[in-house]
Amino acid sequence: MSSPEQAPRKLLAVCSGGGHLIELLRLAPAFEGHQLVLASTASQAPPGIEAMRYYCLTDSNASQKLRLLQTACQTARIVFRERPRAVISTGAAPGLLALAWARLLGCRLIWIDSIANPEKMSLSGRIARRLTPHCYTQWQHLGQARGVKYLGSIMPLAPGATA
Amino acid sequence: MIFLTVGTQLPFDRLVELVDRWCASRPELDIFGQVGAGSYRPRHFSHTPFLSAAEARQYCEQAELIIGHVGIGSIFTALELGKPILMMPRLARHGEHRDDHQEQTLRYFASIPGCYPFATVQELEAAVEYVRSTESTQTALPPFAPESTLNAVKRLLA
Repeated sequence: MSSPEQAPRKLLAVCSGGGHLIELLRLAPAFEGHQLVLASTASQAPPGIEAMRYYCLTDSNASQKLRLLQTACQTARIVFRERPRAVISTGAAPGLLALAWARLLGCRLIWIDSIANPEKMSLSGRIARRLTPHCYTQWQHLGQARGVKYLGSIMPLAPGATA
Repeated sequence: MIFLTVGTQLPFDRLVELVDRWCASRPELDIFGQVGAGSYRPRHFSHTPFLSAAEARQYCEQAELIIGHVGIGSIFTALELGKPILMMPRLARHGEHRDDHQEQTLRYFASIPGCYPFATVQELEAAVEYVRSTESTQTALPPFAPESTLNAVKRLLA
């Protein structure tokens, strides 16, 4: 019988399409050694990343209530079906919803706020910091805020960053 | 070929119209635009409302330079291909986004080699002239985050 340590560790990586997905893909080498399940709003699985499954989500944001509800149902189904050990997101609404469901299962929740928020955390990020102690910014000066830590950037040589 | 892209989420008529005006005065320009679902229809260059991520990437690969909004997708696609990207930020006061984070983001990226800000036709023209007349020192950005960031994420997942 395998001990829990030897069990494959399933990771759900979930985010909106476009820039959020590009940011997530730049972190892909850090997912090696995990059973990766990917969910995003792109119609097809992005090339260049090995995931055991890809789920296509409805794109939604805070001002689209009905679509938001659809995304909430989709992310619930994915989280409860996959039962990952950890969930990681680079934003925005779909990632936040997945984190909220995964919190009910006691998963490790990791939020990495988009590099496109250099002056304050995104709306989703400000909510995410209430869901998890692992809420990160890519901007060192924003790492001073309550509930937020600086992680490093997807860009080399972020200004203000110390190597 | 110059590739214009406004991203898939929101229209950006002010940028599309600015590029159209520039194109009207420079008929020799070869521009293709992904212009979104805005109400302004460009008359001086060929365009389509939307492209798939793979198609947009192909246009970026073929392009001499890229003109866009300050979208992270466009910026990293351009930088990873080692192509210059000229950017105009969406502004909340024109109803182009919910806030001015694109302007804030551009302040950072304007210091990155290969990234050029503009706000007017004259500035766009000057940036294109500069890119074309200057020997490029831009190198393709590696496709992944720096090792230190990747290690930080690995530790979180361990």
